[in-house]
Amino acid sequence: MEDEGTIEIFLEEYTAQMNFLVTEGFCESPLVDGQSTWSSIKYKVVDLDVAFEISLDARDFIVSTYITLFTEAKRPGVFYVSQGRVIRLFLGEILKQLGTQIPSVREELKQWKADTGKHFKRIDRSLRALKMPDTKAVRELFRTDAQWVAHFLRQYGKEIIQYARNYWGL
Amino acid sequence: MLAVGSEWGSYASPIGGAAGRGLAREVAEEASETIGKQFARQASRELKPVVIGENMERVKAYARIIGAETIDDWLAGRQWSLELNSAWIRQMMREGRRVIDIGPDFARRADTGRVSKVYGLERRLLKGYPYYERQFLRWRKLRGGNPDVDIHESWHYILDEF
Repeated sequence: MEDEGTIEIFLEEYTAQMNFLVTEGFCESPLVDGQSTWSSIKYKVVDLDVAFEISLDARDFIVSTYITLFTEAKRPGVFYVSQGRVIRLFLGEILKQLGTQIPSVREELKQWKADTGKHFKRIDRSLRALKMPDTKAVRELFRTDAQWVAHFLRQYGKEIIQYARNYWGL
Repeated sequence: MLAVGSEWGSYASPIGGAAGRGLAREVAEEASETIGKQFARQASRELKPVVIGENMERVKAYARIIGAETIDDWLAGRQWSLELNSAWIRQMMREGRRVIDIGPDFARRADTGRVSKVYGLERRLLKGYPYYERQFLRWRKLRGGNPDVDIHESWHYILDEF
């Protein structure tokens, strides 16, 4: 991991896969934030206070994808909750709910977890041995995950947004 | 702050097994030998506390609420590494800082099934450190959190159990 950092790989892979959100006019240009140990990319949905957020915990190579209540989620000192309500929902949780109405989602969700889990195992082995994982393994993990997230947003973006609207009463 | 269950007893994924234990012992010995208790007590009052926990964006949010620091403040733009992470914990212990632990990110664990190895390492290094403060609830393996940053529904559920 010396030549290229985890955060750089994360930003390259996810922005490449999510670019369609902007080019197809679904979202505004991405907002990138972060420090040495984390990074996040937020795609705000046009004309709606909702965003897709992809967040990297660089110490553990764990990427989480959330649907957020945008104005609340960007406030300092706010994470899962703000003023007593949940403002970050996991994409995986929403897909589980959608899976009760759309059977194909259930299978795809399983495949997403299996595909990323396979790549993550290699990284996990390195961390257990107190070693930094190699760049190739990290890039493969992020690329696989980003492709799946992009697939879900392309295929079920409207349903995901509708779920968020109902959840937050927007 | 109410603490529930035994995080120490049930924490399942420390980094590096014997290697991690050796490192923790070494740091604890170093801390007890080099920190004068009086100096450490004074330092813990004067220097900002630091926050540890699982999921750094969550840790940063809590540090912001209480006016504390995180490893990112110490790194000051340097690229993170396992070595630097251990060096940071050692330095915070030498300085006698209050270390506030907001615990595992149970929501993320439920979503990803993944546990932070680095947070596990930090916990091992801090074992026995006198200025360690636990600021989270835990109920069994997958429920709990810190009420300022974590999901409230699970909180009320936990408290209802008692």
